[in-house]
Amino acid sequence: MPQAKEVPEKKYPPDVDYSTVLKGMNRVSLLDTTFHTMMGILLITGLVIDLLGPWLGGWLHPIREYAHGYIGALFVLVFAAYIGSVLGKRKTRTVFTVTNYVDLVFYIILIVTGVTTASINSPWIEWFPGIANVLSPLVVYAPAIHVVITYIWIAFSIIFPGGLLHGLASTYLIAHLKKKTKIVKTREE
Amino acid sequence: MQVEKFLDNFGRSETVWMYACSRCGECVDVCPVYNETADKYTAPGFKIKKMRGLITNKLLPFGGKPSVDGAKKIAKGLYECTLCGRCWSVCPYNYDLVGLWEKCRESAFETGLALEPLQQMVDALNAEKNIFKRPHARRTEWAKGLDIPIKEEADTIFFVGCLLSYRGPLKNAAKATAAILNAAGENWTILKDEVCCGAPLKFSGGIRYQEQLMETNIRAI
Repeated sequence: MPQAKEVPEKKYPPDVDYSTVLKGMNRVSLLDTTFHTMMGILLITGLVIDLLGPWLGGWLHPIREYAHGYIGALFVLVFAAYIGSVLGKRKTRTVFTVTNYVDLVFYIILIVTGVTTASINSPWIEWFPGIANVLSPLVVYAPAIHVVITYIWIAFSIIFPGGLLHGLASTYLIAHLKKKTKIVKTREE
Repeated sequence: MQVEKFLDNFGRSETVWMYACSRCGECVDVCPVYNETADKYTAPGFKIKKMRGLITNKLLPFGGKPSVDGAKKIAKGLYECTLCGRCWSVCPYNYDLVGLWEKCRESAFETGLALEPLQQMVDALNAEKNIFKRPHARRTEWAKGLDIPIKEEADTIFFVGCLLSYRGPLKNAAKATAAILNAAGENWTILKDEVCCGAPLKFSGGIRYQEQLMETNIRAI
């Protein structure tokens, strides 16, 4: 007689915590996880530089150069791959909203102004006179545009359901999910 | 039709879940209905996108009213879903999508966006307590001439249901079940005044009517 196969019980309603979300995101797309992690770091470090700059003292330089600058440079490469991956798949085009596309435009502006701002300090820019010529008229305005656009993006992304509202909603949900599960259990009892 | 009230039954949980959706599109790829029909309104992620738009419009002070046509398209997509749960099984957030679809259907039903045959089913259930609109008095007709007990007290109740009670070929399944119970020497009975279990109403969003039927069956037990 064949041995009865044990079927694992699947919990309903499902439990969700940060680890399941992170595992799920990784499973779906490592690029997506990398993009979002880097964007989070850049947003936080950017806000720290802008809002806490005068109080950072000796920390300001490493935060600006390494945590914001070099990660920002890597982000440009990741973003190029990410945007190609998103727009190249039918499934993501199906679920993307106008707000998401506007978000992408904001990222492009932030990238252009960020690269322009950083180009002043980068010796490699002299190797590419063409880029230097294009960027030089923007250098004066780029930092201001970079900061202002960040705040416009934050406001836009919260008012309309964009990237930041998605992040806030995820955080709220995961933080409150245990409560919901408890209520359901009480009902069953 | 009160389209402006569509999705008003959403609580904080459903609303936050919809905004938390990561828009990865995994659910779109695995949906059997979408893969078969290629109608975007059947794709889980697309439905969430459209419903999120309606909710956002309601939350924003300058948001417009939902269009009747748009709401009807969403409702049609909601009713074409088979509730198979594949979208839930691949969702990286483990979002209870089946629960969401049921909640949306409830709202569609209450706002008059449900499909016409579903309203006919509700009428049939109100009139005769079964989904086929057959006379309620003939519900136990399948048991005629058989040794089917109807007792006040028993160890086991055989809940026959609409399909086995009224549908010709399926009546044999009810008869066979009765024969097995008798052969096993079980102390069993069927309900004297059984009505529809309400499952079709649960799946179609008519939760309000389903609860009435459930209460009737519970009282009968």
